[in-house]
Formats: sequence, structure tokens, C-alpha cells
Amino acid sequence: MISAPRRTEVSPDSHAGSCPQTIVLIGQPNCGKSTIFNHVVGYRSETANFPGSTVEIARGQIRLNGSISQLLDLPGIYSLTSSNPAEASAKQFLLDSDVDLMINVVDASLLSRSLELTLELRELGLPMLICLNMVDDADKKGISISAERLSNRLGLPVLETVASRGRGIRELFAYAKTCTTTPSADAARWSRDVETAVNEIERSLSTGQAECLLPNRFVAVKLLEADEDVDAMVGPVARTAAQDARRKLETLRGRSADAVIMAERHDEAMRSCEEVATVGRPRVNVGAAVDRWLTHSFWGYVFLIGIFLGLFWGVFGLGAALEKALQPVFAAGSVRLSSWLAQGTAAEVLLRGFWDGLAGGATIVLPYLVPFLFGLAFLEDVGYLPRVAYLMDGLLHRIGLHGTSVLPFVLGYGCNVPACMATRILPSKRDRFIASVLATLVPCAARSNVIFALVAFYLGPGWALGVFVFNGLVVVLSGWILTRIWPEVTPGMVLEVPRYQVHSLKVMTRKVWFRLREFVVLSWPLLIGGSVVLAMAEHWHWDGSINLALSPLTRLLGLPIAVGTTLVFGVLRKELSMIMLIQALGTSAINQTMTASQILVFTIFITFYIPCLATIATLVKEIGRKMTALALGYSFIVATVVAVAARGAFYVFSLK
Amino acid sequence: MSQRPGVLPEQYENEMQFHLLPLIVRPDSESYAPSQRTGISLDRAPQREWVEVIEVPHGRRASRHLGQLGICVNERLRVLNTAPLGGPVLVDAGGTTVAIGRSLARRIMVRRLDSTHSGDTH
Repeated sequence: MISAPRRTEVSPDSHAGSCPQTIVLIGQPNCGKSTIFNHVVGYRSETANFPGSTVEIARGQIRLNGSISQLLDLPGIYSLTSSNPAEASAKQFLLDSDVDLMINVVDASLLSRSLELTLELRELGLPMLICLNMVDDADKKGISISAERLSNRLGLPVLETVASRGRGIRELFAYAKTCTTTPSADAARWSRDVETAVNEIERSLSTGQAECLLPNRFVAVKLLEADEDVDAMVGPVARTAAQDARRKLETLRGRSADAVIMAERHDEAMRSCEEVATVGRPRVNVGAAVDRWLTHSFWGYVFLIGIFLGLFWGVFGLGAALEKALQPVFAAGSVRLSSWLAQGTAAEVLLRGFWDGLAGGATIVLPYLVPFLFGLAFLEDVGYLPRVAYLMDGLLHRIGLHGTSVLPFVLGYGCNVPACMATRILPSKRDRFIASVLATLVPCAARSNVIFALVAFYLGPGWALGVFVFNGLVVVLSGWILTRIWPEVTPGMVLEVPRYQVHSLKVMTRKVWFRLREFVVLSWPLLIGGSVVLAMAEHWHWDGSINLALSPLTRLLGLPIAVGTTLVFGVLRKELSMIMLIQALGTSAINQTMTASQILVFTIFITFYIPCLATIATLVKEIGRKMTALALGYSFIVATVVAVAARGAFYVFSLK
Repeated sequence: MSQRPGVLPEQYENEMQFHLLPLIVRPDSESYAPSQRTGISLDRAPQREWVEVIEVPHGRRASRHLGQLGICVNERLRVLNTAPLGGPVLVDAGGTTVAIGRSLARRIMVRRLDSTHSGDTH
């Protein structure tokens, strides 16, 4: 349903053919921007049901009217005053870049709150349209919104969508290609005292100090709010005028100027909401009933442990069954390979290396990776993770961290790269550093894979569970140590806990494929290449010097000397260590060449030592080179200490 | 499906204090600043009863973030749950559920509404 405002100055038809070049999706966190984005350009932007799942601006191209337009998915912002780096990047983009059209995505079920941002965005004076998303959720809450009235009230076109089902998106972009509606300047008018203050600053701007393209009113309001970014853009005259106006307003109202403006916007949004929406009886709220259990002071934790145990057993059960089924197939291929080619020729060495890499990926990586990614995608999309953050905040505060840090940690189980990037939703710099260091200690899908395929498969699932629990303890202990080295009071947690959502299998499959593609197109060829290189190195005995150089370490850990090379290659990709272990030992039946203790020590060392290259690159970007070097050194020391401890413990217990 | 059926709010409040005091390990000075008006801090507000916010922390960042989520003076909200181990307070504020860290919750002052005005739909 399209509701165009009556006051549209330019009729859309007259502009047919001149499409907006840069379109941005902007809105509050978790309102469905990335879902719309992914629907239009294919799955490119990570989505999850928690506020702040998009931390980087995602770009894509769409064809409108035969010409190509850029579509950008900005991280969610509550207002144009940012409180963390993810929000800051969205704001900076809006202030600095040439934006031809803003699509303001609004969560219809939280209309009043969402309109506060809309009112603020309107002050930017850019062409803009409102996408009223999640109208189905609003309906469930008994809220019915008249798009027409909203459109008239705001002076902007309003289009209704249900992005999770793909409803209304085609119409949205069909309208977007001709949309040139710019919000009228006389839109919002506040209380007299605030208007006086704004006007005073505006006058100082028009006397010719400001050299920016932003509308004067927007700049004036932001100066009144004491916004640092805008403050840096203007000259001294405007700055002094802003200070005076702010002081006057603050004495008049008895509270800070930004609080006054926030209240004005809040009232305006409330009034708009009351005018355009009617609230009836909500339907039975299943989510609230579920939440009573999942956030319960006792049962919440029982469910928490149960859910993660369920994930563990599910992944292991499925993975082990698949591995057992696939292994004979690839082993038969291996036998056939040796019957074709003469032993020891260059061709045989190359092909064997290739085959082992291929088989490793298919039999011991994919069987665990696919169910794991599905499980994680489900937990993320259904919206359970913010509940985990709520439950764990108290515990995390004991180690000096924020409950919100749970989000990067849990994401870390999927891959450390997005986990490190997700730390951008934390407001404090020190929290971001500690959380990203800890996130790299969390076993990612690749390392979990090693745990599943080696420890669980050969030693039993109980041992694997033990490794995960032990890892958790080391992460907690590391957090405790790091927060003692760098003590600081973390700002209190304020986290929106979103409604539960159930996504279709299709949406989940696209998400899983988005993450799996990384393995298939990048890691698997690398595994195969690594396997070939190692096969050649072994055949012509090049690996001796690497193994010799690493022999102090392998000896300390009580591992076979041949394992040394695999540890080096593991820095490229963690699965590589495991695949190459098979290659290095010359058999896929690892339990015949390594003792249980060796398998355990190897896995523990792999789990903790230096994260993979991709993670290192991300760390450098997020926390800088020096800090990354420190983090790497720390992980290496932790890995060696815990692996040696595990070896000792195993030795002591096996003697009894 | 009330968790504590039959417990009067007054009794409940005492019970909360009894439970919470040992958990508050390091009371930071700010959180104990007494309010001039008659109010209780959010972490002591009775569960599932509508209350009105009468004071939010003065810190710019915290109050802004709370305000963005609809937690500001004169707004109504209700506590849904409180996490153990000094964990956050879960509140329902105008249809949004927000987890607020305990130390911050201690600095938000609320006033209990007359039961006739409470908009509890349960």
C-alpha cells in the first residue's frame, strides 16, 4: 500500500528516468534493514535478531528503471547522536556522503519510538521515504496504523512492508526509483523557548561561518544538543552562540539541552503516533510467556545450559553419523587411486595430496560445519542471544565485562572474524579490546570442528564437551586477568531485548550458505593446496627443517615430531591442521598413530594458539597492530600452558 | 502464570531487599544517592506492576541511551524480571523489552502508581 503525501512538490512521473544514484536504508537497530537489503541484492549483509547485528556498511547494486543504483545498508541507529562505533559510522556516512534517497525503515510495532529517529532524519532535508516494516507484528500487538495519515502528518511517502516474508518490497523500490520528496522545512516546531534557542544559533550560522552543506536548522539543533561531530564543523561564532543558547535553555528548563530536545522529539513522536495509530486488544503474546521461562532466575539458566548442550549433541550426533557414512566412500577412492598410479611418482604424490585435502573437507569438516551453522543461525534469528546477554550480565560483571559482550562471544563460535567486528556495539574502547581478545580464544566453527572430529570422534563426546567447558573457563579466567590489568568501570548495560521471530527455512538456508560459502570457495581450496604442498614436502623431505625447528614445542607437548608442520599451516586456517595431521601421519585412522593424550593435547593447543590469518587481519583493523601482537603472544602462551597442563593432568589420571 | 502468587507487594519488596543485599558487593557511591522525592530505585520496584519514572541518571550517555529506548521521566514501565548475581533488570517500556544493568537500574527512580491506574493487562 502506497500513501503519497498530499504536499508532494514534484510529481514522481516528471522525474521518470532520473533515478536516485545512492539509496541508503536507515533506521533503528533490528527494524529489518538488512532483511530488506538481502532480499533485494542477495544475502550479503549479516542479519540476526539482536540490535546491532550490522556493524559495517554493506553495499549492493540494484537496477532501477534500467539504470544501476547503489543500495547501502547502514548499521542501525537510535538517533543521530551515536553511542558506539557502529552507530558512529552510520551517522558519519549520512553527514559526509552524497545520499540521493533515504529509505527510513520503521518498525511498525514500535512506531512512537521509531518516529523519534524519523523526525531527526527529516531535519537533514534529504529526499526520504518511510518504509513501515513489520506491520504483521504490529497487527499481533493490536496496533493498526493508517499509512495515509502518517504520510500526511510527516509530509513523506509511506509504504508498508513485511520484509521477513518479502511482502511489499517490490512496491517499495518501484516507488523509490521515482521518489524525490524532500521533507518540507517547516515540519517540526517545538516549544517556544527551544525554538528561540534554535533560531539564535541559526542566525549565527547565516552570518557566514558554517561551510557545510547541511541545512542550517539541522546544524543549529545539533549544536544545541552539544554534538561533538557537528561542533567540529562550525566556526567560533556559531560555537559561542550555541554555548550561550544552550546555557540559557538549561537555566530555563533545569536540565541539559540535549535532554530537552530529546523530550521535544519524544512528545512530537508520541503525538504523531496517537494521531495515526489505534491500539486494540493484542493477540495472545506467546513470546512473553516463553520469556517468563527463558529469563527466569532459575529456569532461565537451566534452559540456557540445555539449549547449548542440545546444540552440542545435535551437531556431534549428526556430524559423527555423516562422517562415518562418508569415510568409506573416500577411503575406497583412495584405494582405487593407488591401484592406478605407481607408488612414489610425482603424479601419485600430487594426486594423493589433492585427494586427501578433498576428502578431509568432505568427511570431517562439512559434516560438523553444516549442522553447527544451522544451529547458530537458528539461535541468532530467533532472538535468543539477547536473553543470554541478560542472563550472563551479572556473571560477566564479576570478570569486569558488559553483558552485551556475550553477543561477540557467541558469534565467535561461528567465526572469530564477525565476532571481533561485533565488538563495535560495545560503547567502551577498553571493553572492545578485551572482548575481541577473548572472542579469539573462543573455538570458532573450524576449531570446534577439530574438537568434534578428533576428540569427540576418537575419545568420546564427553571429552569434547570437557574441552568446550575448559575453554569457557580459560576465557573467563583470561577476562578476569585482562580486566585486572586494565581496570575501568564499564558503563551499565542497556540492551534492547527483541521479540522472538521464527524465520522460514529458506531464509536460514541463505544465511548458512552465506557463511558456508566462505569455507567452500576459500578454505577448501586452501585445504587441498595445503595438503598437496605437505604431500610433496614429505615425499622430498622438505618438512624436516620445520619439524626440527618446532621440535622443542612438539616435544614439550609430547606430540609426534611430524605434527610440527601442521601447526604452522594451522595459522592459515584452523581446519588445515587437522587435514594435514592426517597427511603428516599418513593415515586417517588417527587413533592408531596417536595416543588419546596426544589427540587431546593437540586439540587443546590448536584451540587456543594464534588465531587464523583472517582473524589476525580483523584484529589489526579493530584494535591496532600493537594490541594484536600482544593478543597473539597472549594466546600462544595460554595455548602452551594449558596444553602442557592437559598433558600433565592426563598423565596423572591415567596412572591411577 | 505469576511467579509468586499471593505475595503482597510490600512483603515482596522486603523479600527483594533481603535477597539483594548480600549480592551488592561493591556499592558504588552514586547508586546510593538518596532521591529527594519519594521514590524507589528501579531495581527494588515490585515485579509486574506499572511504575512511573521520576528520575533518570544525570550522566549524558546513560540517560540518552535510556531515553532512546523510551525510558525517560514521566514514562511508565514495569519490571518483568531481575537476573540473579547482580544481573540486569528486565523492563517492559512501551512495548519494548530492555535489559538494564543493575548499577544503572539503581540510579533510576520510579514511583508506584495507584493500582487503579495501572495498565496491567495480565
